[in-house]
Amino acid sequence: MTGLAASTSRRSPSRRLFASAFSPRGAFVACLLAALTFLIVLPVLALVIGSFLPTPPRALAIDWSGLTLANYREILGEGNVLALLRVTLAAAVIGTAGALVIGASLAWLAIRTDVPGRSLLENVAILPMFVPPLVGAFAWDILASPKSGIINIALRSLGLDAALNIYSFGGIGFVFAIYYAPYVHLFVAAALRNIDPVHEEAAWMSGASRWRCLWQITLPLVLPALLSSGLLVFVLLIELFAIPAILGEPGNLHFMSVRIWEMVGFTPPKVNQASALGVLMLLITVTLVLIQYRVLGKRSFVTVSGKGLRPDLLALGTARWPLACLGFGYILFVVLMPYAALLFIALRKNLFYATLGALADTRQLSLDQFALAFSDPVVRGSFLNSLLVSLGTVTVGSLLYFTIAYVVQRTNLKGRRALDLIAILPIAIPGLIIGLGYLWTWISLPFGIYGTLWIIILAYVSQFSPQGVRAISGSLVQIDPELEESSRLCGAGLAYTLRRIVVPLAWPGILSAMILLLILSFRELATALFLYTSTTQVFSLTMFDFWLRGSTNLVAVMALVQTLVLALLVLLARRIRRERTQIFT
Amino acid sequence: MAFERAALKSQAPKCQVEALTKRYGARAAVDAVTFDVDEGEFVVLLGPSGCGKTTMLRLVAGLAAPDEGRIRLDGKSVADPARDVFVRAERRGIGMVFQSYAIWPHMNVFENVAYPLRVRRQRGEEIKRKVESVLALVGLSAESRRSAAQLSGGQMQRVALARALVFDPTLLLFDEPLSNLDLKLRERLRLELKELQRRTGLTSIYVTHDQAEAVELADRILVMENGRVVQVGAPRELYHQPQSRFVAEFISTANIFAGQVLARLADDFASVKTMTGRELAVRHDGTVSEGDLVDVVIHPEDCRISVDESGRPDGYQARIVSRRYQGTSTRYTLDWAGEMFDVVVLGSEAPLAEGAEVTLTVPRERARIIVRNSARGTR
Repeated sequence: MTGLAASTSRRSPSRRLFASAFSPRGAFVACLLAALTFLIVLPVLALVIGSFLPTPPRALAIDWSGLTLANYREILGEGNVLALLRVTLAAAVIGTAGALVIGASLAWLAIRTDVPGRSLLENVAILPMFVPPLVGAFAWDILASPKSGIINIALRSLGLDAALNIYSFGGIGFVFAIYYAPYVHLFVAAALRNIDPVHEEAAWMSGASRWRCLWQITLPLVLPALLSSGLLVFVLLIELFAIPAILGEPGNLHFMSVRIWEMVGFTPPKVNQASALGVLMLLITVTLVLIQYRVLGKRSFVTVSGKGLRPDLLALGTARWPLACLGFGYILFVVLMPYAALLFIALRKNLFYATLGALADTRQLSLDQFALAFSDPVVRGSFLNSLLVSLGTVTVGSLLYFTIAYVVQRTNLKGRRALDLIAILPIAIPGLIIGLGYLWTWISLPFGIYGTLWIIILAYVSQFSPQGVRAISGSLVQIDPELEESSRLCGAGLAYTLRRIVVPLAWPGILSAMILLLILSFRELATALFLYTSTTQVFSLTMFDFWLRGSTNLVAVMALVQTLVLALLVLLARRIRRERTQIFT
Repeated sequence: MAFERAALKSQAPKCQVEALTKRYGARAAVDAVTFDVDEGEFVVLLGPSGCGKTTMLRLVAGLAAPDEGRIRLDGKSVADPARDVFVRAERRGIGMVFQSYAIWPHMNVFENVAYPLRVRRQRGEEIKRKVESVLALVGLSAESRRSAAQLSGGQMQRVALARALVFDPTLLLFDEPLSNLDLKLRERLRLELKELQRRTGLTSIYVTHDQAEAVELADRILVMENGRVVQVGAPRELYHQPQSRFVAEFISTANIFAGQVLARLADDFASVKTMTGRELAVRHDGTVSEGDLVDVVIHPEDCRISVDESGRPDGYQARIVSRRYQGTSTRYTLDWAGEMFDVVVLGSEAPLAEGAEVTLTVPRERARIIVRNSARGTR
C-alpha cells in the first residue's frame, strides 16, 4: 500500500481540498442536506406524525386538528403490545446469546487454535451471513416443522419420538442465531487478531494456564467486541421480519414487525395504529444503537499491536480433530443442509411424504418445477423488477453516497457533519419503518411515484446509506490527500481531479460498495413490504407471497435462483478485492 | 553583465508575501509573515515541526487560503482576502514536490509526468518530447514505462520533481522532499537538487526542518518559530550572527550561555561576565550597554583545546568530562569552571582522554553576543 497509504499527517488540521475554492459550495451542501432530509428524515417524521393522527394517510391531506393519542392508547390498551414485546425481545435474546456463543467460539477456534483447516474455517464461518433470512426461514420450515419437517420424518422413521419444533422459541432463536452468528464472528475475529500477544504471554509468565488465560485475559480483552456485536445482532433481530413471519405465525408466536405488517395489510387496515407500534419499535432500536455507540466509544482498551507478531497458537492436542469436525460439521449443517432441502423440494413433484421411503423415491424428482417457475409471468416479472430496483438503487445510491463521502472526508464545507450524521441514521431505523414512513410521505406528496419502482428504489437508497457511505468513505480515506493536491498543483480542477485521480484510485472500493448495494437490494424484503403494487412486486416479495399461498415448490426454485444470483455477486466482489490488493501492494 | 543584473534587480520579486496570516481556531499557524523571493533564488523555510513552515508553503501553493495579508506572483495578486482575491492552486502555475511525493499509483512514470501537460491539453508529440527531456534531466529516461508502484523512494522523488518541472512552472515548491529517504540517498539527492536548480534557474521555496539541508541548499534561509519568521539571511550569516538563542540553537549545536555585559570595549567588543563568574571578551553586532543580560554563542568548531599552551592569554583551564568519537571529528564536553562546554576537534584521531586537564582557546572574534530581547533596556 505504499502509494495509497494515508499519510501520518503531522501538519495543519485542515488538509481538505476545494474548501475555499468556489462560492456556490454552500448551496451545494444545502442541496445535499435537503435531499438526505427528504429521503431519510421526512419519512420518519411522517410516520411519527401519522401515529398521532386519527385517519389513514391520504393524498395531500393531513388533518392537523385531529392529533390524538388514541392510536397509542389502542395498541397499549389492547394488552397485546406487551405480549408482542415479550415474544420479540425473548426471541432476540435467545438468538443473540446463541449468535454470541457460536460466533465467538468459531472465531476463537479459527484464529487462536491449531485446529486443522483453520483458515478455511475462518472463511466458511461467515457463509451463513450470505443466506437471505427469508430463504433460511423457508429451508428450516421444510427441515424442521413439527409434522412434515424432513428431519422429523427421518427421526420418526428411525423410531425416535423426539421431534424438533422450529416454530417454538428455541427453534426461532436457533435460526436467528445461526444466521446472525457471522456478525459476532467478524467482530470477535478482528479483536482477537488485534490483541497484543504480550498480554497473554505475560499471563503465562505469571503462571496462568492456557485455559485460565483464555478466561481471565483473552475474554476480557474481546469483551467490547462481544458487547457491541451482541447489541448489533440484538437490534437486527428485533427489526427482522422474514424469519418471524415464516416461522412465528404457525406456532402462534407474534412478533412486533409481523404485527405491524398485519395491521397495514389485513382488512380493515389500521395504518395509524401500525405507525404507533412502529414508533415504539423505533424507540427501542434507536436506544439500543445509542448504547452500542457508547460501547464502541469505550473500546479503546483493546490493544492494537503494530508488531505483527503472531502469538503461538493454542495447541488443542487430542481435541483438534473432534473440534474441527464440530466446526466444519456445523457449517455444513447450517448452510449446506438447508440448500439441500430447498433443492430437494424444488425437484420434488408432490410434497406429500411421511416416511423416509417416500422421501427417497427418485421417481418423484423432476425439473418440471423449474420450467414452471421460469415460465411464470409473476416470477419473471418480479425478477425483472428486482433487477431494475437493484440497478436503480446502485446507480442513485453510489452517486449520492460518493458525493456525501467526498464532502465529508475531503472538504471542510460547513454542514458536512450534519450530512454524515443523517447518512448513518438508518442504522437505527428498521427497514419496515422506512417503508411505512415512505408510505405516509409519498401518499401525502403530489408527485406520482407511489406505485412505481422508484419509490422502492428511493426507500432502498435511504435504508442502505450507512453501508454505502461507509464503504465509499473507507476507500476515500485510503487515498493520501497529497495525491489530490499534486493534481491541483499540476493545473487540474475538481472535475478533472475526480475523474483522473480520485475515482480511479477509489474505484475498487466503489465497485465493492456497488456490489454490496446490489446484494442488499436484491434480497431486501421488509423495506418493500408497504411500497409495492401488483406490477412492482420484487422477487423477495413474490417468494413471500407464494409461500403464504402454499406454492412451496415455486418458492424453493426461486430461493435457489436468488441465492445463485447473490453467490455470483459475492464471488465478483471477492475477485475485485483480490485484484485490488494485487495492484496496490 | 552589470546592466543585466541591475535590470533584473529592478524587476518585481518573483514571489512576494506580505503580512500573511493563517489561523486554525485561535492559533495562528502563520503569523504576519512577510518576505520576497527573487527570480532564480533558492529560499529555504527552516524550523522545527509545528512552526508553520508547511502551512506557509501551502498558502503560497494555494492549497490553503490565508486569513490576512497578500501573496503576489510575478507582481500579480493571487491571494488577498481583504479584496476577496483567491487564485486556486490549479491556476497558479506552481510546481510542487510533496513530502510523500504523491506519485499516482494507477499511472506509470510517463503518465505521471505527462499529467500536467494533458491537463493543459498539449499535443501528443509535444507531450512526448517534453516528458522525455525532463525525464532525461532527472535521470529516469529508462524507467518511463515502469509502473509508479514499483519505484524506489529515490526514483519516486525524481518522478515528483520531473512532474513539477515539466510544465515550466513560475515557482517550484518543495515540502520536505528528502525526509523520507535514508541518509546516504538524502545527501546525494541534495547535491543533485542543487545542481538541477542551478541549471534550470527556477525560483524555489524549500521547506525543511533539517538545518544541514538548509545550509547546503539555500541562497537564503528564513528561520521560522511559532508562525513567525525570526531571522532571514544567507546560511553563513545565520551561522555566525544568530539574532536569537532559538536561531543559534536551531542552526547549530553551539555553546550558548547567559551572561551580563560588564563594559563595552573597542571595535564592537564587550566584556561579558557569565553566570559562573567567568569573564571574556565577546563580539557584538548590535548595540549593547553595560548591565545588559545577554546570551553568548560560541561554536564548538571554532575553539581549540590543547594540553601544553597554558601560558596563552586567551586560554582557559578546563577538564574533559566526556568525549564522543564521530569518525571525522571528536566532540569533547569540557567542564569549564562549572559549566559544560562542547568543543569539536576535526580529524580522525581522538588523542585526549576523559578526565584530562586542558587549555581551552576561544578566538575573540568568534564569540558572539545575542541580546536577550526581554532583558534589554530594563535598567
